[in-house]
Amino acid sequence: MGRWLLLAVLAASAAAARATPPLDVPPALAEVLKAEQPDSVDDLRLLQDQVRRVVELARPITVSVELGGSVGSGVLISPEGLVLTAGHVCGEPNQKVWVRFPDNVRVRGVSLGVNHEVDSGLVRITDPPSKLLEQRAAGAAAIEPAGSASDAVGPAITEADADEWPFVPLAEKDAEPGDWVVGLGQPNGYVAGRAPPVRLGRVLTRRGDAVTTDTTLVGGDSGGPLLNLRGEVVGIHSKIGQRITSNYHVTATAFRREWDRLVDGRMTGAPEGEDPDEWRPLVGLAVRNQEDRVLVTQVFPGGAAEQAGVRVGDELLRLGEQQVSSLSDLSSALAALAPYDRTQLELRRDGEAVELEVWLGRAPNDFPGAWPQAGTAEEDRD
Amino acid sequence: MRNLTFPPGPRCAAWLAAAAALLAPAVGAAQSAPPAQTLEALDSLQETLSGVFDQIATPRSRFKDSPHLREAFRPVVAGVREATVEVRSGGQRVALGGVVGPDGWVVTKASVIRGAITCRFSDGRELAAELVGVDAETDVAMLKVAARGLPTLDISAPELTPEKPPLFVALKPEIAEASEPGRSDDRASAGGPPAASAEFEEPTPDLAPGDWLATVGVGRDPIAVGVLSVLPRAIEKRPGFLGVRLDLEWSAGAAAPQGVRIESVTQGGAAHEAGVQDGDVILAVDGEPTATPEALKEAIGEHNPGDRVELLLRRNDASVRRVAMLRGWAPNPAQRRAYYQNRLGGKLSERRFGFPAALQHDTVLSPDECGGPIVDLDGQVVGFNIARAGRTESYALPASEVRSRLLDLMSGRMAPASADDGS
Repeated sequence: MGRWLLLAVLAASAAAARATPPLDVPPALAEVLKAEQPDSVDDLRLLQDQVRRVVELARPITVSVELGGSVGSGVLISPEGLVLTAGHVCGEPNQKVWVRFPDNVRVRGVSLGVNHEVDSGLVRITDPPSKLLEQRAAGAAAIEPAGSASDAVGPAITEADADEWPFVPLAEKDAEPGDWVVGLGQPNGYVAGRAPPVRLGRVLTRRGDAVTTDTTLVGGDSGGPLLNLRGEVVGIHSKIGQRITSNYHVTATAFRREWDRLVDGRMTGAPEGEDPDEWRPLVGLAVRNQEDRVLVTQVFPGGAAEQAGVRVGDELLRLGEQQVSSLSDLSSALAALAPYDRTQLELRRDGEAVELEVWLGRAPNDFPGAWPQAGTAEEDRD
Repeated sequence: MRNLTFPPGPRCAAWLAAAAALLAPAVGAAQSAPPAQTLEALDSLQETLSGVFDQIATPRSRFKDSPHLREAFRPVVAGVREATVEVRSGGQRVALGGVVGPDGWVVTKASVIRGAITCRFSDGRELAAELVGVDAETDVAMLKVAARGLPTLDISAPELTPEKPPLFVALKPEIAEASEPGRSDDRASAGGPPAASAEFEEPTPDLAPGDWLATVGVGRDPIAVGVLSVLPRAIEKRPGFLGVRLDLEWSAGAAAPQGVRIESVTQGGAAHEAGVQDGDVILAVDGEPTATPEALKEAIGEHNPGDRVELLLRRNDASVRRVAMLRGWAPNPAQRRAYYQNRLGGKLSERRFGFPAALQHDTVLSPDECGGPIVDLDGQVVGFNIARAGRTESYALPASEVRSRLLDLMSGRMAPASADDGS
């Protein structure tokens, strides 16, 4: 129930991301941009003034996305704390991540959808904005001398009441060849004391779900934003090639097209080097068949079933579309699902029917005991 | 409980792509860390497909650094280029430089200077130059040419303050006003504006991230243009490496050790390139005795990769001097991948780590385009390019940083111990 509400909120945020661009392009600059390129120092200055505005807007919300031993970049895209990133930064949905801001303060998040075919990814910050502001206030208090600390911290604590994250919107339209674009991110990973380095370039080509630019990128930038002169995200850094002008970014429309799947936490394709056929969905529980009832005997810590609220002793009634009264029913129910699907699990607990939403996990096919082979598994599988 | 979530194997493979930071440079990159050569070949193949099309489809004028765009900077660099020189050695440009005194004082990047050098001016004159001072900390060199009345750079630009981390400002300022009226009254009576809005009312800074920077050459148009990425900060030092295996027992066995014996020299390493041989005994580094392995490691490690050190060796009872350019070392796959990725698209300066303060910009430079002035749109010299440091970054020493060292560099107190390789 709670999760559906959450989804509704997230869906609303997609609409919010369609808000008006945060910056106007001054008429004089618009005139300059009509020409193939700036022709004079005055033209250059108009462009520079606008780039400054984009940087001021987006740089404070350009973040590092960290999980396991890896680190990429990202940018806040909605007031609920959705962070756009690249697919290969998260690897998989439902992973715990840290989201680190330029001042080294970090908050918790979870990876949502990942599309390995276009290299798009989405993260949701799970801590409230107040968590970040409290840390900042604590940091400021530690630095400020005792006397002045209260003054400095006062407004920040008040801000902590706010429940919305600042964000830059995802562009409705992709950037076109020739457009000026600003690149941000954390090249070579987060470096203490270094604000996200600003890069400027132009869109060179556009092919399918990617644009190339001469906005230079390197490892660690993956997932960082490419912004147009109106401060909208037109791309997310994805990969590089041999030439200095081979910088690839996933387009805004590629994100929009897959938006529902991304918000829903689905995985499309598989991480590089993996075969999607070698994986199957994992509920994360063990069951026992008792007459025509399927009873939960174990719920694995941290697994999908535990996250959904399944308990030992629950009787499974339905998974997805499939009624479940035997292990083979359960097997065919799972066969109809894919890793990281969200599906309904109906069960009976203390005589009451309960419906839960399960965000499935993933296990390899040859993972011992994880899969009920029809006709073989009779007892506990652990 | 074997079947908790995932087995570690496949997951690690997935991490590598991201971990090793991150950007899979095209196809096949995720396969458990193949040697760099394999990657390179794959990259090239893939890129020939899309690259050929891109090159045809992309007009030259579309690039940020196109000749036409650089031409728009012509008025900006007009005066500065007359005080800019090409530093040449063996018939080739090795660096750019800037004239800081009318009597022939020129600053440039020290670590690229070797052998006999000349300075070529924008008017076509080419004069022999003498290396009179080197500052190891900043890698700045002072050259002297026999000339008078030269146009001189104005390097009086005010010191640039390092950036504070960019923070997003008050999310809902109205809450701040509503919640504690007493406090806001206090603030009003004190006459100061509320803290949050004060940020917006700061005067426009002279130089902000995203601002244009032009790298000046001796020609009419800048050599390259880019934007300021980050205001000055200290650039972390990395240890330099000689590329030798030490014979630890040999030194330890001596009653009063006077040097460190080299068991073997790593093929292609700094010592190997300098002509150091297996069995040589290192007696001193830059004139400082290194009697023990610890002393030697310290003397080498305090330098950066790209620094030159003079080694005093004993070989078969003869004294030998060799100058070695130290290397970096990337011991793990993630570091090697970072090193590989940073070199995609062009060469980097050997000496690119460890600067007391440098501003970072995104201008694509080659190592021989460092050493000279960069200017903002007002034509103000904001600094001197000191390193091509990575695929996305070039470093420039702020003008104030160079200015504060000029007198020392001119005085002769910082004269290089050994300007040339060996003796």
